Amino acid sequence: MQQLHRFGLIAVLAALVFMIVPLDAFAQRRGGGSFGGSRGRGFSGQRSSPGGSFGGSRGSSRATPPRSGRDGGASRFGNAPTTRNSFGGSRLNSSGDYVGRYGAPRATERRTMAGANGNTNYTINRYGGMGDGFMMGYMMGSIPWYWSMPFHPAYYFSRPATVVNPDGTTAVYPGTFQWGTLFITLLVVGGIVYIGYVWLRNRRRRMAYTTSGTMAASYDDDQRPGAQSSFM
Amino acid sequence: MPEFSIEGNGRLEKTAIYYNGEQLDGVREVFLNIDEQGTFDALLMYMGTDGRSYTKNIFTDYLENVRTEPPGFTDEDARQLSMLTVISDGDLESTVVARNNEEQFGVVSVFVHIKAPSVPEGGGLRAFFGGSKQIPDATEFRAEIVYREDNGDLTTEGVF
Repeated sequence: MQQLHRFGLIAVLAALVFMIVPLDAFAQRRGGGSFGGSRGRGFSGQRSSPGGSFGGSRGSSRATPPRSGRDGGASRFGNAPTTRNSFGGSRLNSSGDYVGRYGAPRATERRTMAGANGNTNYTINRYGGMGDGFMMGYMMGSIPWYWSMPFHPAYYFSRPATVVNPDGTTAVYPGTFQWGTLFITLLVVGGIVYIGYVWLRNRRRRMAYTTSGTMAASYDDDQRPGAQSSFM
Repeated sequence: MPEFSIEGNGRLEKTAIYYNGEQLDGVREVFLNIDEQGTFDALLMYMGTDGRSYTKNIFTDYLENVRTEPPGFTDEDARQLSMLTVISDGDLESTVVARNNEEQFGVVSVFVHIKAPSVPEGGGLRAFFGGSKQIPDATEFRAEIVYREDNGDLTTEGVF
């Protein structure tokens, strides 16, 4: 039983560490702080200075000047805005990465969306399902706060993946279900529930003890000469 | 020979333990299991004057740092109570069992287990996850003597 408690404690601590460390840090690609801000900082918002890159990482640096069009596997794509925006997610090397894994999209549509640096042409690949709906939500520019909450399904889906097409458009693929997020969340929630359970159980035991403990305390009659019980 | 007595009415609040006529204090547990087959367990667990817990063989060990107290029962109280006395040096052959100062004969076995609920200790994180160092135990109070009747039948009687 002691070992179970120790394991539970370790699991809870590990879960808390995972909860504190941003999962984005483990992700391969992140634009850097795109989400969670106000709409004013969103996809179509004006920015005073160009900041992070859309999709981030993979050798791209913030000092890289914005380019137009694809530049031989450049870190930026198309005429997408060079500023941070709400539409983060993963950037793929090619569409084949995604299609090879999840198959051909059920539907594809082209859409032009206005951004800070003009219009961006997107090729939206639809696969159906929840990820599809969330993808459209991300493309709207900002997401509700509760999408980042564990009780909302969007929390368990990755952000949409993007890839620059040869024609200069940006292909967008829906996010996928993240088992790791689910596992970590279950660990954290389970840890909290476990702590609550242990607390309640101990509280109940203490209360049960109090009932008999009052009696037990009276056994110890050190203060009174001639006690009628030798027990304490 | 050491004389060990338990006087009470079956409730822990009114159970006094005597060792050679002195009433003990701080007793946590008494365990006597003596039978004619040779079993001879006589253990006393108590909190000593130094606050440490001791477990001793009642008839062979020296009761180190044992706490004593003045007798708590008056003669009038004693009339309402039962007393079990075991006089022994740890050898079955020389063991005498008495009830209310009357020596008993035809005893097959004596079983006494009296245990006070433990007091929780500790606190903090350990107490939070482990409850406490000691989980409060339920009170145990058993005291039985098995007699062999003249016709060979065995009779079990509660002491208190």
